[in-house]
Amino acid sequence: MQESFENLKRTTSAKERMESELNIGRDIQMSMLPLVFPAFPHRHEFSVFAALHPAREVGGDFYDFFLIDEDRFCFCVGDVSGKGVPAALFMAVTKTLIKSRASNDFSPASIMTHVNDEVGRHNESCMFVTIFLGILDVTTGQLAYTNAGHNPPYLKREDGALVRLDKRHGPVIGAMEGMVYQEDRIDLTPMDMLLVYTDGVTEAMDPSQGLYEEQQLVELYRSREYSSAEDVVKATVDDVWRFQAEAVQADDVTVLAVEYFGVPEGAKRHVLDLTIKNELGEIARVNESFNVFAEEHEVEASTRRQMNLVFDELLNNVISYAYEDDEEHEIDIRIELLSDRLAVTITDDGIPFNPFQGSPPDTSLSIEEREVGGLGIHLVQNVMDEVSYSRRTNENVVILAKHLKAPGID
Amino acid sequence: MNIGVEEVGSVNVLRFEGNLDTNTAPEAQDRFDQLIGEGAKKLLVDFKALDYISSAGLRVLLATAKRLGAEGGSLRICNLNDTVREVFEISGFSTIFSVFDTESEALAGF
Repeated sequence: MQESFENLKRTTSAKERMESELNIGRDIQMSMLPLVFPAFPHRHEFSVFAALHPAREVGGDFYDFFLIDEDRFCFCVGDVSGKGVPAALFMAVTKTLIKSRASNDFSPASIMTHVNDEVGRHNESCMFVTIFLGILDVTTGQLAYTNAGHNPPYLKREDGALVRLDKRHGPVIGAMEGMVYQEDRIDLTPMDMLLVYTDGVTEAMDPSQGLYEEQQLVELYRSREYSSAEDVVKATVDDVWRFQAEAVQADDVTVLAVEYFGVPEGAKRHVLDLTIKNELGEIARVNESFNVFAEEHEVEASTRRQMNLVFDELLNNVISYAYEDDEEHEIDIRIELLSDRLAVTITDDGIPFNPFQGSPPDTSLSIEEREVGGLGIHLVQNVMDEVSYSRRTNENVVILAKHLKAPGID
Repeated sequence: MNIGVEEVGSVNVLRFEGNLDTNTAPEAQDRFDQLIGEGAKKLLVDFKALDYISSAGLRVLLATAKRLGAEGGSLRICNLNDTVREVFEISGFSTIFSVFDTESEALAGF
């Protein structure tokens, strides 16, 4: 009696431990996903929607997406072998490596080759992950993609034709280091929709253990038109639930859709590229060139002045503080004017420095107490609608955007 | 940048033209220091023809106001365009400085 009670206690606590480990794993998994939609409300060239429904037991799906720069949209869907905390941590490492590599490497094949080497090197537990990774140039519609052992995605063309992207570019990530991955390119045209999913969809089981199968997915996508990325993702998940009925969900179900709209017709796009030396006097030259550009393309005076302010603050910062030597350096400035946004990219080869990570100054102090330190960046953050910083191999990259009123829109 | 200075009664009116930024701030600071050195106590800064101001320009205004305050003088500012006004509001300068819409309003009772 005593013995069986001890046994029961032991198995119960082991079960509880496993349960709680699965819960922690799921919490880590879910906390890493971008969950806010619309994800890029100010971008009109594309939209993205994704859903991930974790299974109770097995699971290690993830997805991610982000803009690498003004024109390049990177997205991926993956499925880690294993479950619980180890799988969640493996996923976290993989996802972080992808994002970090993609910030200065715009080739999916190169990113995957690099990530595979990193993940495979110290992979004692022999876990692996299947990944589909794409980088879409939102101005041209060209999609570069690498499939590492993942389910082939589908491209639903504007005319309804369904294309299976069935090229495989290498084995699963993490299994063997030293693999060289390939990539393919395909041109998307406006209103094309790309659907990426995990095997939790095609291997969903109904109560009599029948599988959902890829064919059912194909029929679903053929069956009707979808009004948005969100529409098609939700329809897919609903169809899997309908099929599964009262059966238990066996694996994570993940669906990600990217809809490409293209650059709006009649949309303008003007680019001004400037390169300056690291001398304060050069700031005036930037503002003079920008003012000519702004006048030529009818940028509002108040916006033009705000940009003058922004250039003065940020370039002053870089020129005054980014260099530890007395050498001459170059700073690149790219200005892109679209119908409804003005984007600026400033690139310098100074010491790593994120201008936006300081705390804002206390603007409520009196004249005697006030200092002006930190105020410049505070001004920039307030007059611009988007600011971001990233460190690429040996460069600081600051990207800023100002939303403009599109013609005919109030 | 250009600064035109005119004495109106006991007030020195400084009319700015162009930009008050990284490259022009030192010159503006020199002009303020020179006037205060010559004994000016009441300074009115007219930004009617100022295009934009950056934090380098704000620093000059702050330093000047502090110095004037210590010497029993004061600084007023008028005629901000929308961008300059925005910068004053974001930085909190609109509450710590005496800001007026026009030169005549600023001169009244100075």
